[in-house]
Amino acid sequence: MITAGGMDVGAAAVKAAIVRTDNKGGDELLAGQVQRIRRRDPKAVIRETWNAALEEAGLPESEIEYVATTGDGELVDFRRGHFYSMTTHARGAKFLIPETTLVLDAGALHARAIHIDARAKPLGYRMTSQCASGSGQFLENIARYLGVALDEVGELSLKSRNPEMVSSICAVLSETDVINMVSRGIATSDILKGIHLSMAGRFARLVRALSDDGMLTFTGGLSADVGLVEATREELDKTGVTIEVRTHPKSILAGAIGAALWGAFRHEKLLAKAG
Amino acid sequence: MKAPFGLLLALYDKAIIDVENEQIELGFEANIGPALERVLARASDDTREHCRASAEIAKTTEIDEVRVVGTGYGRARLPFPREQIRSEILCHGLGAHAMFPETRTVLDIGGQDTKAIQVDDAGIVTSFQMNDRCAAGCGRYLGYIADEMNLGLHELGPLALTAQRKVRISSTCTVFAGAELRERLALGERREDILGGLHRAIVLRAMSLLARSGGVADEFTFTGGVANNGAAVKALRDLVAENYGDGTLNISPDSIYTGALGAALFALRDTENVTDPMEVAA
Repeated sequence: MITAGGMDVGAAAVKAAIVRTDNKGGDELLAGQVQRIRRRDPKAVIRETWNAALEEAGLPESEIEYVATTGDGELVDFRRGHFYSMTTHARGAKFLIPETTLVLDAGALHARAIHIDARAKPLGYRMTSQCASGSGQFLENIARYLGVALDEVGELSLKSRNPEMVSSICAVLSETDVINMVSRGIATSDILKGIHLSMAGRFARLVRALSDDGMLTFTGGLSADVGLVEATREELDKTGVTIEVRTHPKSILAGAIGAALWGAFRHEKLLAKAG
Repeated sequence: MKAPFGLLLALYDKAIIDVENEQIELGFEANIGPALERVLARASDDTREHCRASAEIAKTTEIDEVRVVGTGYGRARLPFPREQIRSEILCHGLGAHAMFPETRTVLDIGGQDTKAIQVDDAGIVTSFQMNDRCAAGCGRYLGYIADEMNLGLHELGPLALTAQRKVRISSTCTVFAGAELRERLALGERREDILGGLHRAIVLRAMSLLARSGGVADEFTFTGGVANNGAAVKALRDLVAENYGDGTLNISPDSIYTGALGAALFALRDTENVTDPMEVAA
């Protein structure tokens, strides 16, 4: 058995996971911690998150045989290896929901759809670029303009009866659009649902470019937004594809879990090579 | 000494608020009197005197409203008939022409959009390019950066002017530029240098609009709120000189009124029964 740690350093939050695995499918998650960065020094947040994970696992740092990173991993000075976020999110999603064939990593700045095989190997991917419209930062801005906490956004959106449709809009200029909607007396839940549907439309295009069927698992920070997950389900259903959409309470940890599991795998190989 | 602009603005604002909220049918003169006393209650004697003198001129100037033309982002909301509404682009072109008659190219970088306009010798638009629905390249970009850095908008320009090295910002999107800024700060780069790079980035976006609209002709007039930002002006001056050679760059201290001036000129033309300038252009 190998005990390994994974750190997923994102633009808005740091995620840490500790796993124990036999590298034969017997994977166990010992700890998972998330901390928002919020204008703090990322390195301090990394240390804090890692310490919290060690404490949760009840292990001293010396017992962790390998620490792997994903995302902005170069900020983690105690790492031993680094993995691309596509492979780690795929591995993490597969660990959380074994039937996963499609992964949608929706984070603070980018969204990426990944098509994976039975061994969590990425077969293809599509991602947004150049523009933050539809990103987590975009949703966070909207929530701030509306005076809603980010955690409340999902539940509010689910209550919407008449979503206010928006075209794909700039994450920064949307402030004006939202102010206009509020002044026109549109309910907060309808504004949020409209925004969710607009984001979901983008996600659906990414996913459909990869596959028409399968099991889609949300990962990344936006995976906790039940309103966005539901909107994505609706947008995909509209197009007639047979893709089931799921999320998991630990989906936000997928990158960190994946990094830890791949780290354990690499560690065993290195041990074997060293004889 | 002239009356301070901000104080005068507050004075007119207070006079207008009275009219709007209380719906009293009073002339401007009756409204501005009490407003003046309220605004000036805590001002120094000197300021009070200058403001009184300015207000006196405004009070006694008879405005005979013959024709009004409206323009701007909110022009659709104005209670004017359709023929009294003109697009911002036409008004900016004509306004810039009135301020600097030799102007052939106008760049307007406002809060929410950026326009590159080519005008003829009568101030009529011959071609234009516009960037909207995206904050990259307009004033809001700098506003967002100022928020990210916990700085006031007016502090950005002076800081950026003290940049010592050229930093190339690779993100286009405003949000990504904000993330890049945090990243570069974390890596220990100087705030001033990054700010210099960000100002250059917004002007670079404007340069591509200018190129698509037909280039930069001599003379060239820069308007809009970003024209008040020294670092943006410097970046623009450098990039224009680099790409189009030396020429005259005009910036009026009254640049904020360019669109309104153009609209007023359109109104004037209407009353003078001049052929519709838009028809002349066509």
